[in-house]
Amino acid sequence: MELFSSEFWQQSRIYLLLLALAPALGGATNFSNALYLGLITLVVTMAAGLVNVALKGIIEKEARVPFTVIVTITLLTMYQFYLMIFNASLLDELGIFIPLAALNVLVLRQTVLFEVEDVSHEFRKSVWLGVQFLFLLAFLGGLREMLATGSIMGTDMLARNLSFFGEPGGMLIILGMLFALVKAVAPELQQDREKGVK
Amino acid sequence: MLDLLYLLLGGVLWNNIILTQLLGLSPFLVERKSSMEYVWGMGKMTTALMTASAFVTFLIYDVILEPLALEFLENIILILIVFLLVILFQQYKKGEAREKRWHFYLPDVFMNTAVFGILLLNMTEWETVIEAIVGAAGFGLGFAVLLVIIEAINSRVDKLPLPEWLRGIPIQLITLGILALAVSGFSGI
Repeated sequence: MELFSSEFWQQSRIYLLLLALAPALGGATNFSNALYLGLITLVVTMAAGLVNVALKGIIEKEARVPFTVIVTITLLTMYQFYLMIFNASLLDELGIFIPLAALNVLVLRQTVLFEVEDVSHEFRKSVWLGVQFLFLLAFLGGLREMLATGSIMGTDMLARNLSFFGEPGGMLIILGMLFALVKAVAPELQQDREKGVK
Repeated sequence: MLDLLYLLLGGVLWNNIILTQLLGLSPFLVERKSSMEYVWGMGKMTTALMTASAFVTFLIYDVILEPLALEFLENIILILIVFLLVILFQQYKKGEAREKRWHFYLPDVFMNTAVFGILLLNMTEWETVIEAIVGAAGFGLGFAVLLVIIEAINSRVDKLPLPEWLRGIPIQLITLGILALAVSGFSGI
């Protein structure tokens, strides 16, 4: 029942953040949606971590992945019901990306809490990754909104807009360009990969 | 019959889950040494998992959840079924000599949001079991075909005189973006 080998979690920060983008990128159509998705991911990451720490001795090691996923998806379903009553328009916009946050690599990473001795260190690292992820996603969403509509949350930023960037293909190109820029400016980030997060 | 063909082809082309919904991007966002054999193996496994999970979840949704008005459990049940099927696949492949490589796919396949995503998106759209199976197989094939296309393009791009900062993930994502643009042309059909 070993789904994630322990080496899997030794990957670098950049690797984990990029993987974490996978379930959220489609929903990050504008700044506020991206911010919401990032916040939801951060909150469920923290909640899954706290539950995992609290039940560390009780849950068997083999069940740690399904346990974490079920705790997270239950929270997300409850949040969906909350939105259904109080903010239906947001639920329409985020749609399936709310339950998909349960498969986020940052949430699944909380399963390491069952294995390590130094729980608080691991937990702080996960929360820090979640905060970085929130900023990254909000930045990407804001950039996409700015290029596609020429404004962010109603404030005009550009003289003309390129509606192509509102399409999924535009998002992929933005991300590719941004990653190329990061690689050009800071090539040492690639070496971070061999060292791992620890 | 024509409807089913439309459903199958739609999953591969104009409804391609990666290029239209940006789901299941995880294999394209990480840099690793891959080969055509690896990519094709992963595509086949994902297609099999999607088809199997669509079949099982459709039956459970139709026979248990809907008659008992338990639709609110949908998310939890769907994700559990996907997880159980991944574990089953792992057990099934355990005896084979290629176990180690197969093992390597599993985190990728489980974290692949496309598997869970198509179930969430289409559980109420599909009307019969056959539709669910064909539709899911179409989405899976679309994923596999895209993996193979990107791998083939990558092997050629590697030989081009590109600057170092554009190699790897950046050029892969830009290629994917251009492909998404090309595929959006099909949606008019």
